[in-house]
Amino acid sequence: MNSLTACAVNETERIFLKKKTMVLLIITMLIPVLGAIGVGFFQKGLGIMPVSASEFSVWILGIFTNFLLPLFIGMAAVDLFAGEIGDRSIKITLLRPVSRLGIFSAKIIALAAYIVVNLGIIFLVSSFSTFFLEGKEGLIWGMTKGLLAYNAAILPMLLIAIAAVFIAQLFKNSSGALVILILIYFGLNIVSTVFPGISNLMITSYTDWHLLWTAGWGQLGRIFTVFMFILSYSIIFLASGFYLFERREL
Amino acid sequence: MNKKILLTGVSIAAGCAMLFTTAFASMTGNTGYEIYKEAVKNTVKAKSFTADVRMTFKDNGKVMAEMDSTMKQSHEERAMSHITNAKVQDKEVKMETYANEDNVVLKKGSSDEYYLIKNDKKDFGRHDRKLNCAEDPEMSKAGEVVLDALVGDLKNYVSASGNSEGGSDVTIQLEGNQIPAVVNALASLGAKGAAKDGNRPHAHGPAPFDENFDLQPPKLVDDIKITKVDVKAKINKDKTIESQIITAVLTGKDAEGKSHQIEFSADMKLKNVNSTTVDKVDLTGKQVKELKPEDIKGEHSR
Repeated sequence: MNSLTACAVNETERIFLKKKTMVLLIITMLIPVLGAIGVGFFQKGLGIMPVSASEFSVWILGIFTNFLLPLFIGMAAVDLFAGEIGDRSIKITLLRPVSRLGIFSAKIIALAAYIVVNLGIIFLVSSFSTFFLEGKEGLIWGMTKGLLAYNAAILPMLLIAIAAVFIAQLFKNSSGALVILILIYFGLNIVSTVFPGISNLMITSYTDWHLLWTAGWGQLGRIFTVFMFILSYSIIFLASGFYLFERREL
Repeated sequence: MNKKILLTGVSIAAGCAMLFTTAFASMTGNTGYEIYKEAVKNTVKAKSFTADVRMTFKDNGKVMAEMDSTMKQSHEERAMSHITNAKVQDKEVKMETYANEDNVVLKKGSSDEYYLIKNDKKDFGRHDRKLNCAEDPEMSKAGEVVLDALVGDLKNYVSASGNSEGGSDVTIQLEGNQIPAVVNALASLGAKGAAKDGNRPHAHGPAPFDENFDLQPPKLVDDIKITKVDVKAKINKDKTIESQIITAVLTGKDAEGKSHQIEFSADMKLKNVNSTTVDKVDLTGKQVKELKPEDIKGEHSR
């Protein structure tokens, strides 16, 4: 178990020590600030308040979970798997006294840590950004709801990471895998829009799950349904992703 | 090695089984959105109906305007009649409207004078054909696809539960983050524009009645926002809407910085579906003044 922890720490470091990750984290910090300035312009210039201060952090979260975070997560997932094969460092990783299952789990744990750090940063920066905004009535209640929403958002993002890991197994370098991931992501979104009847089955349609958590008790049934979808897809993609990783000849 | 393959195989099988169960359960359960949509479609298709509608307009809890009307409408007869009692800032006014294919008759409750608008262009008939077009299955199906796509994730907020009479109660509750920011921004801008235009936010009366509608809505300039949209509908066992209450709350500040909470609600009860006869008016021997349709159009587009 100790070696798994060490391996997970190691993989997490691999994500965070990349210059690319740092740049992305800075972008992640800037977007809530820019968002607050933009919303502030609407409030002062036009006199309308489509997003009040107390709703701001949940609104910003929606912007991230719908496009930016899946992209960042996909990049990290692809780097950890296909990228490692591309730059041949996978052989060194596999020489460590850890089973392939251990390495696979460590990489998934590292991705989960990356998601949590991202969401944490967005929550903190967006909470501070609300000082620029009007409509602070119910700010504490709004923050409580926000905290709930941010925690709920971890799961659908993790599912996207797991699915990206599965797809990354099919590629030998990260750029090819990333292009395909982006195409699949948009493809699934278009299918969900054109055929809303089957959108439930699309793994990209759970990115707004966190909103249900802010909508009161009436949504419990729907929350449970989506949770079951996320859980079953996660199991399928984890198992098949691991199978491919295990069988991979290097 | 074989053990690992077995484990992966079992996990994938279990995952698939869970997925199918969840997918099946979520597909067969008729969602609130589908129930509501079907009821709206059935209600629109009704050949005739009587609707009692009560609309109220409140500012910070104080009633600014109230309107009670009985609307009878029949697609078969191509006619409708409205009798409306409105109370706008303590001023009461009664209006009667009778319309059919050939003309529209208006009457202000207090006077005996009738206003007649001859409909040379058969406007009412044309409007009716539009309704027939909505009944064209191909058109309505295409419309539905577009509607479903526009509604998107909002349909998750429509919930339905069966009631004791064999129908269902549908509730839609949108608050705060549930209202998409773009929709909220457009609606808030619209509300701001309407308030700026002057005294007639939504209660446009036909020309002769205009002077009675000097409803003075608070002029909001800052922090305008739709905070809540609520729909409660009761659907009967014939899958048509029996009653429906829509409430929308708008908040904002006026030029002096005073906060306003404007609540608009419409309470509608439908009855005599498919068995309504529209009230008619006999103009013989009555005082009648003829109005040109252009006069009214001019008033509206100002």
